[in-house]
Amino acid sequence: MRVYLDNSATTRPYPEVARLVMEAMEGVYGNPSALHDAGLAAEKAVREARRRLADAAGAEPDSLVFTSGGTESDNMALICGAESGKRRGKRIISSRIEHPAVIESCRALEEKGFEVAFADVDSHGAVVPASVEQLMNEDAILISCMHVNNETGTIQPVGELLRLRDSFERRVGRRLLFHVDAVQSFGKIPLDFGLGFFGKSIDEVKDGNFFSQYCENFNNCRNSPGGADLIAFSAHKIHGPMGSGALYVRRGVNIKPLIYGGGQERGLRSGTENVPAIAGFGLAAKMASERLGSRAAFVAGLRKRLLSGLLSEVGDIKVNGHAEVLRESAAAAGPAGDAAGPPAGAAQMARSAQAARSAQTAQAAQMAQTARSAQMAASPYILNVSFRGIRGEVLLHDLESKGIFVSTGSACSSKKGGGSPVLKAMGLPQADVEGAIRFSLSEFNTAEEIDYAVEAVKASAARLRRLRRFR
Amino acid sequence: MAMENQNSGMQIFIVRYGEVALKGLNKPYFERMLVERMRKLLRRFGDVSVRRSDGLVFVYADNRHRSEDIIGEISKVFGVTSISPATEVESDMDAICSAASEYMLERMKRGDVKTFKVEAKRADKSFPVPSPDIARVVGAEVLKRCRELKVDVHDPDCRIYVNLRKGRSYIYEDKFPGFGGLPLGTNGKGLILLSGGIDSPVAAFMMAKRGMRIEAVHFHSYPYTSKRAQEKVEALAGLLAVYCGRFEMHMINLLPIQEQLVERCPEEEMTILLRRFMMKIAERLAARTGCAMLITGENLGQVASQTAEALTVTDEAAKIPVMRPLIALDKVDIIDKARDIGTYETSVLPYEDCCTVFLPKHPATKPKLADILASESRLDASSLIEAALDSAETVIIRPYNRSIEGDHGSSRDTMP
Repeated sequence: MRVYLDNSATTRPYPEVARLVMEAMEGVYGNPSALHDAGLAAEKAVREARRRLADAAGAEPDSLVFTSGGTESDNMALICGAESGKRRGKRIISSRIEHPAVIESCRALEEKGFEVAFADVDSHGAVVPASVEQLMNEDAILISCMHVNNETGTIQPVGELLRLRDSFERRVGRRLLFHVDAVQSFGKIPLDFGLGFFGKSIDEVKDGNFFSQYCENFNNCRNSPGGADLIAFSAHKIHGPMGSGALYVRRGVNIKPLIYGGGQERGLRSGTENVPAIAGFGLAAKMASERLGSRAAFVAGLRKRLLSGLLSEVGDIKVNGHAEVLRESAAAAGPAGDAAGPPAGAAQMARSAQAARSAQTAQAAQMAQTARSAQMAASPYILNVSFRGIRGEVLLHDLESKGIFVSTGSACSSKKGGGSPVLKAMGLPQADVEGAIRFSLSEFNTAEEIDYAVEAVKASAARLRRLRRFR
Repeated sequence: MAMENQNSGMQIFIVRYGEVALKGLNKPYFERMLVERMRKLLRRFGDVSVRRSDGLVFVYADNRHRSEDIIGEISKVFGVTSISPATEVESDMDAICSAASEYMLERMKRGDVKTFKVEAKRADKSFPVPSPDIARVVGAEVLKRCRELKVDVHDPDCRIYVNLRKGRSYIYEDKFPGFGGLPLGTNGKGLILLSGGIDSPVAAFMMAKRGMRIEAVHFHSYPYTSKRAQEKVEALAGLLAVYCGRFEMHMINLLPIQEQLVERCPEEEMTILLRRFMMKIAERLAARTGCAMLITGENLGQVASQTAEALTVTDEAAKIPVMRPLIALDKVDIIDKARDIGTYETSVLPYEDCCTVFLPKHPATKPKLADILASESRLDASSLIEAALDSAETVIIRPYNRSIEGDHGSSRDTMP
């Protein structure tokens, strides 16, 4: 059996997406900038993709810039965002758990004379808003924070940080740009930035209908003055093609491009558009957002099944990140957990939509109060676990030999005290950092696969723990 | 062919070989092996002719090939001491003088030459002019054509050689060095214990340079070591194959042995016991594959398992000879050699090898053979060795295997 549990690294494309990419390569090979019909067809394909992405992201089509992927989007946001604000100040605020695309852009900006400050995170891997607030001095021009952490799945308190930013802007009387790296959240959980699941844990909201309803109004804050200014998206994390991504640039935010040339993408991102990949991205975004709630609920069920299996069958593990509530409930549920059903059908979703809508007002009222505890919530797509007495990389290779693909933050340099900077920032002991494995799920996984994986981990752990003295 | 009509579409290289010429009665055999090896390596350029004549090898290749590429290929042949691109003329003083002058005029266009010297060698003793006179006459002619030049016999900017042979003469300047040594295949076959580090490829290279064919064994501890580490070793082996030709490498997993060692033996003896197992397994493999000896990259005092005492205990494990060509080299010299032969960059890619996986905190640096033998008696040594041999996977190593691109290291510290 082949079990792919590394979906936060990249996902298998939807077959529909693969077909569309192929069709675009074979049939829509004109240059979108060309004046003839072949060019027009390509331009139309890009326009259609932009519309689909805009619908999925709750943004206006003309606020989206297609890029080569999440990394370029983050680079553009940081570097161009900082440049646009350099007359206002020099300080850029980010966190210790950002993706290297952000961290390394910050370092490059440091060399250009900007000052970078990294906010602390708590033991769940959530950025501490007070730490960010402390760093927001008179010199601050740009804040960058991810929505969902790629290693732990912890949902960051972006909504709270946005409110802090708003009050800073009111107090100081000038703009403080806010960038969100939504690569691990877009198309997976609602883009409501930090409100989590209305403050509820995954278990409480695992009902697919709740999610379906929930995502209908998910990004209301996006284009309001309180919304983020820049948001990075990636296609291949949501079953789209590699080499395609986008940056949302809020209307009224003026940044200069990172890449100059023929003036494509309203001059913000030159270079002939990657038409097949963009078309694929558009379709993937559409498909992901249409079934977002039921998929998230389905995957949450798989994760719960995986965690309870690991807790009861393997033992001596530590869940990294968010999952205090989850761990207890899963332990109580026992190895079988809840049988994870298939995503809820469209008919069922429609039936319960009305009931959910009436509950919506009450939920919205709760939002403000529960926002603070929302940082406990996590993306259902990621489970990060430290196996005591085992090095993560060794377990990874043993699982690979059984056809199971997972990920670890640490490389073989762990002997030299290396390992995931994210887990270290959360204050994990070195042994737990070295023993960490990230399981990341997708809607393509099945309950059978999870059971197979649990059995395989059980066998591997038993064997490897016999050598724990040497690890 | 090229020899007969002075074809301007051909380039000519004069290849010298050193020690091969000293080998008395075996000389024809060594020379034949040398030429064969050169032909084999030059085959990819298509129509290349390799001929031997009076202690030199002449290579004729089509002009459309870059001479650096041809020289690069020839320099990989063990036994070759130097290579010179040459101009071929009739063995006639007028022709030689005019060709030498032409050569110099061309040469002055390429670089800053103020002084020169002509050196002559008369291989054809029947030629009426003796060597010093040839040099003088040619030098005078060159001076006449290139008026701004001066002769400097001690430290010239440019040294032109005239090699006068029966019928044909050769004019050349640069000598590109070869590795020397003896032609491949003239000295039996050895089994190299290839780890993936810096040392073992150099050890294999040094033995191959003395004419020894090689075969390789690599020990790993999958899943404690990764598939990428195995790929890295295959890439290293591919770099060796550039010099040694195609060979086989046997991949053997030591983890079952390590597991038993952890359970039954003192921690500080882990490494030395494991190394003895490697020697024993390698010895058995050598017998199966027709290798007369083992080759290791061991180096006195480099690590705990390579102290004099540890080496003594390791050595006792195998009965066939174990070659340790690096034994007395300093690490910096080994690194220089690794850079020379082009294996260094691949060797330093950051993957663990099986020796570092179960590294004891305080390895025994002065193990006693009796203690080690006692520990060994607590193990199912022979069945472990059989099982290891049975599980061996054999890979064919071909030249230019560069499957590793060296960019894994940077991306592996962080999660995508």
